[in-house]
Amino acid sequence: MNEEYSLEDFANNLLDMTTRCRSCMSCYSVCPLVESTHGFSTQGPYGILRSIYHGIKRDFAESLTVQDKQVLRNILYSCTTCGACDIKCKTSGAGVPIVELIESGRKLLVDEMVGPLKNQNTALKSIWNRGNPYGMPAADRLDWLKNLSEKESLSCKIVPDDGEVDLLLYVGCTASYEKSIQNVARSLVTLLEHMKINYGILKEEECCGSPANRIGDNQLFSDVFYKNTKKFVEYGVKHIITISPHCYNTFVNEYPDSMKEIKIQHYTEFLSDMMEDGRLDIAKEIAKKVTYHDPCYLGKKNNIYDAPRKLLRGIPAVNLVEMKRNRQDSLCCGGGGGRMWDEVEEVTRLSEIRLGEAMDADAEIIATACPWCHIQLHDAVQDTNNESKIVVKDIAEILVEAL
Amino acid sequence: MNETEFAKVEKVANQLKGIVSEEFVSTTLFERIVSAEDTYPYELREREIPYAVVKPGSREEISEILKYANVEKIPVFVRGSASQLAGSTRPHTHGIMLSIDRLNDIRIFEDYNFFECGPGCIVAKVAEEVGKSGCFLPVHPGSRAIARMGGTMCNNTSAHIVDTSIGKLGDYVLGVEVVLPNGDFLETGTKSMRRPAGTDLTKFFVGGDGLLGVITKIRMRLLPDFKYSYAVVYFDNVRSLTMGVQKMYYEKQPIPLFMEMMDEKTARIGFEVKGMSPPPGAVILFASIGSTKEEAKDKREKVIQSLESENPLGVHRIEDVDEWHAIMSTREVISSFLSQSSGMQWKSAEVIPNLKYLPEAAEECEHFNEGLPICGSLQNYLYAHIGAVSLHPGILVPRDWDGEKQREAYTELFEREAELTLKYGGCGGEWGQFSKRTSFFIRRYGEVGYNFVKSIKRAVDPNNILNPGILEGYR
Repeated sequence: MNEEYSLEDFANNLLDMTTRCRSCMSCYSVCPLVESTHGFSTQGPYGILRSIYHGIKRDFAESLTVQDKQVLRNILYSCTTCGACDIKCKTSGAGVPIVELIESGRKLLVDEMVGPLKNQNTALKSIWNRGNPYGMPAADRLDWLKNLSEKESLSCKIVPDDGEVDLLLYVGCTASYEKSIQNVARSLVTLLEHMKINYGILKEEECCGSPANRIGDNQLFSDVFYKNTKKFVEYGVKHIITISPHCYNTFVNEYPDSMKEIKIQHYTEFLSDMMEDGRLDIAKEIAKKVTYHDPCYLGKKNNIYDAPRKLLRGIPAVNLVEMKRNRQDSLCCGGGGGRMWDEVEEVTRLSEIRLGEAMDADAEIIATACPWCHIQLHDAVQDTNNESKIVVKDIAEILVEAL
Repeated sequence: MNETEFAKVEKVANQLKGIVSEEFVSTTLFERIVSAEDTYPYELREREIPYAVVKPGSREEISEILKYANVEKIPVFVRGSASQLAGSTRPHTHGIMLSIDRLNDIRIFEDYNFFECGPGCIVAKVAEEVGKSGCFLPVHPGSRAIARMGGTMCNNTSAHIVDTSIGKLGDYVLGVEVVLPNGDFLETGTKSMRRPAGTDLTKFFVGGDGLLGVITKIRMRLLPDFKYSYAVVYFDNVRSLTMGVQKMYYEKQPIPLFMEMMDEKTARIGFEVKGMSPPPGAVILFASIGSTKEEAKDKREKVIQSLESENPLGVHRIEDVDEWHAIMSTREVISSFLSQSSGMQWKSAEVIPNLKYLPEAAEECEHFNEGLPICGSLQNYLYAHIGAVSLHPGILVPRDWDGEKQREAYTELFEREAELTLKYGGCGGEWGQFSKRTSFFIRRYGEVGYNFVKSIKRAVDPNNILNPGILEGYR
């Protein structure tokens, strides 16, 4: 918060915004929390907004206990920020920016040192100190490159050491550090090499700042976007593709105007364009029933539904089947909104509900295009002992198998 | 919360945790407040915040809770989704908030030709389930995505469906299971297709405003779905539109299943929000039904024939169901859009006139709030379930009025609604009879009518444990 705009102003503005909800409560009908919890009133968008409202009012009146504030924190950080409520509210004609208000509520809690949750705090500190939320050394960020073939390693330029590139692959923290997701980054390298693209990755890539924004740390986010945009401008970056929809959403919707000069795409959009131009030629058949799980930050937040499906349909013999809930109705995996770093109350895990929907569709492969969805769904497959029936793969991995 | 209240919360919660699993009891401040709020904008008073929220999973648990409440004389407020619009879900004192959400099983018995569901089932989900069997659920509230079957039963509302087309919800209820306020179990009705002649215990509960028991299971006849035929008709003004509706009745035409209207000002907003060209005037949208497409079309033409006698500006027959849903959505977005765009709160009223004076009543509703001391200068809109002769004037109430002023404003609007409905000889047809409408009930049916209900309530619930405040009226 700057000096001209006090915390009290911020709280008052938030208070006013929450009262714009007309209490139709339709948002409960689409909120994943309602499905994964016992469904108390505060376990849904309307109830979270009202909790913010009452929290602020009672805080002004100094009638909130420490315990009340902790409860409020748990309520606010339960939201996956998937955006289903925003879509529902907009369709109903109202268009209250529910997720934005919930995130503002989190900012208020962070400023008042009530939020975030304990392990989220650790993740934020790690972004400050190491440039990633996983507590991993910054020096290990490029370790995922070690398993590439020599040819692929050579094709991957390191920016800025190896000069200018046409395309920057922004790998993101999860694909850089998480062992189970590193193969997605390697698959992208394989595909870019296959298409003879002049591309590179940053030598000193850092977190895009998405977790900071979701969790409510304004200051950290400001610091991260300043460092990143400075780097992009300094290195003459013209075109970025991201692996994570969360990085994509952050660059497109949350970074300042300086990024507007840079073309930003999620990798599925880029590959879809390449497929259309004939540069990505897929020859090998994959005779499997595949269902596509729409990541919220790609679909609901950015309306990218077709490119991933186009890529899957472009693979010979793939039988693409839809789950009951798909596109903007698709169910969140539960990994968004800062929930990757701390346990929140779940009676039934969202990822397991989603897995059930994929199995109901008789799919053999759940394709996705988000590292966090990948992790969540893969864990669900393992925890329910369904490894022999269904696997989770990133679209990039499937495309490499079909090259 | 003072120390006495804190101790009470602890005590009540501990007792409840002895009845239901601990995870289904909440005593957090925020849950207690939010679970007791409804669609009204003004806040609860401190004395209205429940001690605890409990989610029982069976009728046995509900029975135990009610028995405990009777011993301790603690009010129990039953809650579904709190989408009721006459204030019945809002507590007026401390108590136990009992959520029926977990009673949400649905089973379809094709061989018996009925289905059974819990009161916690979401209306839209039940409609979807019976739809899979080729059937239609005869209740269609605007809040169907969240409204629960238990609430619709308590009000016996068919909501947007035209009652004179297929009857009210209760006409399809074969029986219910109930927990009485003293904890006793009662099963009403029948499993046969023929409902009881003579005393039908179901009627004490379906349309009972939640006064006499907690419904724990509902049995309803399966109603085969229809074939549909749709049309939109535009009129120069509300008077000619309503006279067209009168003609439809007077000429004994087949009444459509849905028949909505908007005055021109209101319709323009809905059409604009949905990206459609502005309508030329006031609008009627209707869906005729039949067992075949041809029958539905034939009925549509008969309705159009009556409406045409009032010289409409245009008639548009809709053959595509997606187009129908799109045009119906123009009606459904109005209140939300206006609330958000104006920064005010939408408050609609329900005026139910007799058929003979429908045009006069509709014209009065176009100026619904004129002359009112508090709300007289506010914007007024008009839409209606016109086929059901049910008018909804809507008023935008400023959000920045303080809670007490908002309460007074809402009371004033309910009083105006009562005045018009009394003048035209009707009664609440969609939202229940008591709570914000108790004073209307007394004026409509006299002290004799009111005392009649009170004496039944007293006999069944001598401690006034169950949903107190509904019958007494809530401000």
